[in-house]
Amino acid sequence: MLDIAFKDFKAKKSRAAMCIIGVMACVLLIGVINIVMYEMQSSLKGDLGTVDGNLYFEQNGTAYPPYGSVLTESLGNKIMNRSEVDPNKSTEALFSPLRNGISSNGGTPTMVVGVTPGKEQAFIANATVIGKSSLVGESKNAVIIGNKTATDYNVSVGDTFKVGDNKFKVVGVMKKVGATGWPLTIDSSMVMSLSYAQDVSDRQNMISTVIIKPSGNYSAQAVENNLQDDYPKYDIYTKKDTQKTIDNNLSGVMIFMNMINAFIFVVSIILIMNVMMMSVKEKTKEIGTMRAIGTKRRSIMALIMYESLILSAIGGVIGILLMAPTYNVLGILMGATTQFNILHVYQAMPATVLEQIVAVVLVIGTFSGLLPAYLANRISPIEALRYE
Amino acid sequence: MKGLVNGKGIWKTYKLDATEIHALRGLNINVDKGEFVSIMGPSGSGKSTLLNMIGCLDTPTKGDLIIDGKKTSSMSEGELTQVRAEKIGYIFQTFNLLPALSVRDNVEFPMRNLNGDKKMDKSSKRKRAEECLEIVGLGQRMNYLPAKLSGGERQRVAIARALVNRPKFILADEPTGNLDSEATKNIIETLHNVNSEGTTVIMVTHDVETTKDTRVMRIRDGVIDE
Repeated sequence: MLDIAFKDFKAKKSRAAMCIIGVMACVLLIGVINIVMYEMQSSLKGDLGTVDGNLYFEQNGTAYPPYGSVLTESLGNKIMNRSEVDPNKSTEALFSPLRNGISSNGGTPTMVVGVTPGKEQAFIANATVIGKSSLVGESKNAVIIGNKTATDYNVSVGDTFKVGDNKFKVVGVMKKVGATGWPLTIDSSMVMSLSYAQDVSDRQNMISTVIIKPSGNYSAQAVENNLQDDYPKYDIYTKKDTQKTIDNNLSGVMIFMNMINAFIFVVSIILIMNVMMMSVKEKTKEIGTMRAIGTKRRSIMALIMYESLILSAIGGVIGILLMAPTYNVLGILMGATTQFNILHVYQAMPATVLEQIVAVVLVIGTFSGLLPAYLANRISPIEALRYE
Repeated sequence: MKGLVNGKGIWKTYKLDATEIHALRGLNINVDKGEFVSIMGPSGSGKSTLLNMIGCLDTPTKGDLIIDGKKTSSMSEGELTQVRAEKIGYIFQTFNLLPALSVRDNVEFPMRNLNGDKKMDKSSKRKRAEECLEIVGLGQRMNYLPAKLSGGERQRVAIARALVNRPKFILADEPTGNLDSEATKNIIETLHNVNSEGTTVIMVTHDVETTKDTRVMRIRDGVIDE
């Protein structure tokens, strides 16, 4: 019956096209939403991954990047002088969105990150830097910038550029750290000396955090416990806060996105079911004829189910193929300045997203075919042969 | 027993709300192998009901209808479907070809419904379909879609489709009802040729002209009055 379903599908082109467009739109929307969710999750995980192994001493709750936290430099010095803190690998740091900076691609702003020169690794960690990876011996306005910052301001190593009243000299450019199309804080960062960051942000003697690397035999947990005991009004951001932050940031969005997914899914099933019901109605006489010449009920059901599955599969494949370009177009419409590489979107897409979409296609095909197939199965051949 | 279709005291009663409508009233029928039988009668006389009974699409409310030695009222729905597939070839007034399938595929279609020993492989099915199309003189139109054929040609495709499973009998429901006189003559001639090869034909018709050289049964008020 599969071959007959194919021929039927070819013979009823407009009906088939309606179905295919329906499934395609559904797969496209669900797919794009899933990619967005995946990219958001990956981006946040990637961002938080860059803090892995460090502790961030902060105020006003744990968050990353900690630009909402305000500490005095003197408090920072006290923390830096504690025995649990490795003074060579830890640093006081100021995080602040750059005034008049570019905030493209979904709102990630250029982030000023002020650190003590020579302690850049506390923030940069394992990022590969083209040019210099240290600010030691450089001019006061020297900066090491993230990949996205370099793109946004169209600068490279050796260039000097101005944002507002401030001038910056690029001494190093980090290679892209984020694995997805969404930029991470580090990719949008501008690492400079703490004193210049305080000038640029107009926050003299203020810092946002102390990035702490535990010293000697202290475990991260021990450092956290000691600091929390001594500074109960402050917060320590650690690796375990990563998941909490992801959940806090994404749970609402995820629920909303999944509700949209479910809505699209149900609407698609109803739409395709309607088209398939029309198809069964149109085929009443054919079904009667088939039954009269000895076709079994289950073969009639199979015919309708196959047709529904074929239409869903074709719509699904087209939907999957159009997913990445649609994602790009949507990004551009929403103001993204950089286009994500289409192939990159497919390559970076985890198997689970594709599995989900294939499952969606199969479920749409099966569920939208079930009721029409059941109705077709119930058609009496005598009535059907009389049907005009 | 020589009889291919034997019916004794067949009643078919439909209930319409509280009213009982007797479409067949103790009808008796006997069709022997190799016969060409024409059933005639006015509208509402019970022709279609009788045809549905003989075609195993319906069973009697009362009485026995025996098709090729088996009582239809004691058959399950699956068995009735099997009888329709293996023993009966159907020809409809409105041809009822499957529009998405080519002429050859339409003729091949009933062979999908065969089971067990009668099941055929793809090439045998194709060969048999082509053979039947040659019999009805449509060997040159095998790849056409039904929409591209004239009414007479479509009905000849339907005859080929009815023949393809080598049925015990062909049931033709006003096969010339939608055709002009030339095509009618052609179809009746084809049916006579099929009959002369040994296939029993039971035809319902309004047209007396088409009943020439056939045994005519007249049905009136649910009984046969030969």
